[in-house]
Amino acid sequence: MPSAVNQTLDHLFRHEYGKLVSLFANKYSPHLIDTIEDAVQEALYKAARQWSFQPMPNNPSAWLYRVVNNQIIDYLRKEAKSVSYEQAVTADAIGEEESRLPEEKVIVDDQLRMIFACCHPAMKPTEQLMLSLKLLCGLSVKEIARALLKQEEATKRAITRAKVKFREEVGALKVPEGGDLENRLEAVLQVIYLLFNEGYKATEGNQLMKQDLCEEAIRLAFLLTNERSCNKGELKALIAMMLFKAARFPARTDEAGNLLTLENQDRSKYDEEHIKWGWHFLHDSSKFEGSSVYQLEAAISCYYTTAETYEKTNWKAILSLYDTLVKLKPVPVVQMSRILVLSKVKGATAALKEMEGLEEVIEGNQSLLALKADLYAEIGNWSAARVHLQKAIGQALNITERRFLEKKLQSWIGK
Amino acid sequence: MQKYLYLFRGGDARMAEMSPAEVEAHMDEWRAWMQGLAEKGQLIDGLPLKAEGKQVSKGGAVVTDGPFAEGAEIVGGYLMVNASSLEEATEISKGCPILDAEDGHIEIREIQDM
Repeated sequence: MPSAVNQTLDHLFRHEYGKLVSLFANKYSPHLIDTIEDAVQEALYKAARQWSFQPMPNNPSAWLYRVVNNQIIDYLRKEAKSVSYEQAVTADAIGEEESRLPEEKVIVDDQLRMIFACCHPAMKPTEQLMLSLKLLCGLSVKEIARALLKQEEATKRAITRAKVKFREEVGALKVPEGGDLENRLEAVLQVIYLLFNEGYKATEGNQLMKQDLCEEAIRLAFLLTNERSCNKGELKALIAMMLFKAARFPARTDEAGNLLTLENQDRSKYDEEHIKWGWHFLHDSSKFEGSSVYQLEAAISCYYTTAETYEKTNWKAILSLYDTLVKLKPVPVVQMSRILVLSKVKGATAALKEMEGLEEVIEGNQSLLALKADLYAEIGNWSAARVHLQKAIGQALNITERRFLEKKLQSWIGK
Repeated sequence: MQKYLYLFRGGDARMAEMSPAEVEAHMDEWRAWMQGLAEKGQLIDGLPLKAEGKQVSKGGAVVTDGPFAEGAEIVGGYLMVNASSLEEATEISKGCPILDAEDGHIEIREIQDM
């Protein structure tokens, strides 16, 4: 792919897809989502044919908008002929309307309403996540499956299910108000959080594709800042967390594409712009009352990312944040991260002791076994360390991680 | 220097399956290829053709809708290039992204000098 051309058009089509689907779902109806998606796809396809031969128009968005609009109107007219008089009237009225691209504010608002629709409580979190990727981020079923490391068929079924709910249960597209907003915003933030973590997870798969997921999560979160009722402490903290983590992207892989753990990353490669804005949002989030889970996680990522070196990381501060976080969010990944930090502050023996309680709950977990192996290695109990590492390798689900663990095991042989 | 006409057929089925990002990447390949031709002074003109059309025959008495052919047989676009020979025009065409599609093909015709 020619990089120079590609940079100027960075993700144009994908973002146009999300924008156009949102605009027309708002303009017409969520019931028409399939027709709308087809029309947008068709318009992009027409555009690509034309723009392959000719320069792009000055305003490609306006061109696409008009083409999609005409196509949907054509469809509605055809439908109307075969259905009822009432609908025919509506279709005629539609035909009178302007087909000029709405102003930026409308485009943003329509996408906002779409975010809330994709996170409708009738859908499961994974369905919400997949539907958001499909309708708002313009990923295809195949790309979603690849990015989330899921089977294509299963992904397709989940999206089909979500779309049925989208058509039948969402109703009019709107940003909820009052108490409804609070619940739904929680779901929206959760989906953005999941989306980011799916991209950030140290797993196999196309790293660029994964980075895209993180960028999409950040983009959606920034969209939400346009809605005053959403732009509160939790959203700001979530954005801060994502920015601090995304800052590390340039340092996460070596030249061969292998993943590097935090202690082996070249910190000079961390993205300063991301860090600067991370600080900004973290600071902003603290102006709101109460400390949310997102705020704790943002503060933790901040300490990790801004430490001068891995050794100089402020483990004590991180541990105290984890102590609070583990109470609010007692899930395995938090519990294990806390134990790792605990080992830095109080030593491996203390951490191993703390781990005993945890093992009953999450027995056989690969990360837990790997962590345990590391802790045994630290206190020089190499045989126990190797046994646990071998067990972890047996549990490893993906090649990158297995390769990483096997390399470690090799370096431990003979110790 | 002679002028040659490329007639493009096929490739549509593949494009219909593409995601927005893939459609864009495909377009970028075309643009880069065309830009290369333009820089070397080989490109004269070219445009895509819509699927709709008419067929006129019998002295204009018979007019039917559309090209008769289906799918991969419909001419989807054309391009005119400068080349020193049919062989060179053939070589130039091999860089065309339409050939990435299984059913994509190019017919090359020399334009008769008058």
